[in-house]
Amino acid sequence: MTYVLDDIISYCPEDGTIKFLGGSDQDMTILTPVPNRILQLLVKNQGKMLSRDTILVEVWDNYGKVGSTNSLKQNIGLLRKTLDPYLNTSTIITMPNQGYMFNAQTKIIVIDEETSVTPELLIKQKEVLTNVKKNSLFRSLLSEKHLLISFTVLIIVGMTYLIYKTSTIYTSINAYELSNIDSCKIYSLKRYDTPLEMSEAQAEVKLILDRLKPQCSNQDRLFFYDNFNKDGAEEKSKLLIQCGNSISKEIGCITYRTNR
Amino acid sequence: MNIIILRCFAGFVTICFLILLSYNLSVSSPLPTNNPCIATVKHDLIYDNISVNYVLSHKIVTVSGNSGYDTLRGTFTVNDKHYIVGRTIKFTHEKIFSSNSHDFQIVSTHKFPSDNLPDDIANRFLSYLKNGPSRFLHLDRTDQLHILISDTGGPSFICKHS
Repeated sequence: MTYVLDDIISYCPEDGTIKFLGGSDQDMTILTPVPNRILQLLVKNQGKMLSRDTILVEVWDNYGKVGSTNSLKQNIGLLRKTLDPYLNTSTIITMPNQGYMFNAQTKIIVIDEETSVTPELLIKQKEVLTNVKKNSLFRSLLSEKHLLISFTVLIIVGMTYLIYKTSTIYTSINAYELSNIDSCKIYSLKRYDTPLEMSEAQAEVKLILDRLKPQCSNQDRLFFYDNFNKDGAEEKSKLLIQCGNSISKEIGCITYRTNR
Repeated sequence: MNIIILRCFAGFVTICFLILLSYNLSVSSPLPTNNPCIATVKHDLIYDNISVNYVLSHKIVTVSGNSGYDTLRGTFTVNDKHYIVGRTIKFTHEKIFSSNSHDFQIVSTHKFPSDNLPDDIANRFLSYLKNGPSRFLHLDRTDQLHILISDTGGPSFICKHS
């Protein structure tokens, strides 16, 4: 005899196997005799409250063993640990200070392989089992656990992207040291890949500096940029921007642009 | 894994995501609100054998998250003809999600009485002051006090705020 619980797992009391119908052969647990006898007793009496004493007698005393409330609790815990990943967490209900009950809401299908059956009944039983397997696979794929894991993974991926984007918003741009005038450093707002490009840029800077002759203090920074190779620029030009303490607050930064 | 722990974790991750998303959306601009960002721009250019020189000071103030104004004052010389520029342009700018880029649009221009720069010259040489179509602007910090304003042609100028 095999019980199919909630169309998700099968339970065979003869050998104590519990099998997840939507999974592989590895998704199988074999209960030891005591929890197996407890589960069998609870399933047979589904929806009825069984007192602790009744269970102790049926599971231990009748087999010449000595049981206790503590060992009963431990075995119930073990059964829950086995069933909970697949079934509703309240499959085995504790009735405080009384006993335990197998949830009446849990769907149980009994499949009796020993009984002589007609070919029609056998076919029907096979169909039921096939449908149960299909349903359980579908349900397992769409189970809350899987949905939660998928959702969480999706959110974490989105969050990683957002963290990266947020960390790069309005952070200081890269400026590349080009040369210096007195004690002020001159940076380029774009990177020059070859020494030749770099020396050409330095020559352009020198030309502008010779024309402007800017005052410079220690804290000043100058930025150079040319759009000679820039697509989208309306006019080819170069600019030099000076920011720092030698410029008054009312002027801010001075940007000088020329194409001469 | 216990389903309750998983539910709590998924809830926690979702809350973190929403907080981060709202922060990302709330960071509208590096320009500080009601705190002028000041720049002076000197251009010495030749367009089609026309000599154009101007010195303009920009005082850019962001009033709310996505609007503000830029007060320009200065002089403009084209082929040895001198003009005075004094105007305030009101603008709106909308941050493009998860980037430093903005959709920038001038909504109105108020000229001071001293402003005598003809519109045709302004439209030709200071096209970025034209009302109407939106422009793509990029705002970057060079440090805590300075903001580099760029457009599709590259960097335009750096302004300084307090």
